[in-house]
Amino acid sequence: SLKVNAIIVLIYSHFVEIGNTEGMSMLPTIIDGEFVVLDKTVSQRTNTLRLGDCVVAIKPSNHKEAVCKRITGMPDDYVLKDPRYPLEGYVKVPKGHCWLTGDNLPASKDSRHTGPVPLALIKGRVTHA
Amino acid sequence: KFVSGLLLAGSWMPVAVVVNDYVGSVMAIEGRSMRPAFNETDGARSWVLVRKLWVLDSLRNRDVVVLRSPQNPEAVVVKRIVATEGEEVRTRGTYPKPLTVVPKGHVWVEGDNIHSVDSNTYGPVPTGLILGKVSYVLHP
Repeated sequence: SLKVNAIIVLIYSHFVEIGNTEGMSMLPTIIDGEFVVLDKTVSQRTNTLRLGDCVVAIKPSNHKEAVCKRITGMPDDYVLKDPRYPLEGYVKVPKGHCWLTGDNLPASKDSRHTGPVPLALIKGRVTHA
Repeated sequence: KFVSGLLLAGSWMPVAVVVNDYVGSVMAIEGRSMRPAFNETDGARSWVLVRKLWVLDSLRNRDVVVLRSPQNPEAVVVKRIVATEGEEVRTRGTYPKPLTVVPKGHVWVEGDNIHSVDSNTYGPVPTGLILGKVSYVLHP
């Protein structure tokens, strides 16, 4: 029925979702193809996001795709552009944005390539993997 | 009997919220960054209908959109799309480059008024931040 479907859609969009992941950018934390449980409430309560949280965010270059990365910089933080090449220097994370990197740096395309990501693009926090 | 009426109304809440989130909703616009299109006089507020269904696939220049602010994830702002991906923009004011190309998946938004914090301050905006398009002015 319409009402039951609406409740299910609501729960999925606002509260909790079980998502499918692919790729190796978050090894060893998340394995290619692993399912994750997402807390979707963080999308509306971005002030509860913390440095080190593993999150799912909409890609800045394509709103139809999402990526799973870790927050390694919060607004006003200075982060190394790439920890593998420390001589490249630091970036200051602008307000309202965060720095996202995969746990598997050699196999991850993330903020080191595409820059800081607005916090509002974060749609959920991974609670279980 | 009153309680059962209340429960019936309450059971429609999830449907109402889903419609609000995905189809469209009524919103109020405050502030002066979109004058004279909205809020011509100080302290004025406009009520508009914001369409959300399938808007991300049909964003055009001149569309007035509602979006989450890149500077503050808790804030929602209203701006006009001035350029879409691939287009070149002549920037105003405080932007570091006088000319820039809008990257893939982004749009360049500006307030109609010069008193506006917009892409000239924070650069191109990912379309994932856009919540909906203002489709109709209800008041005034």
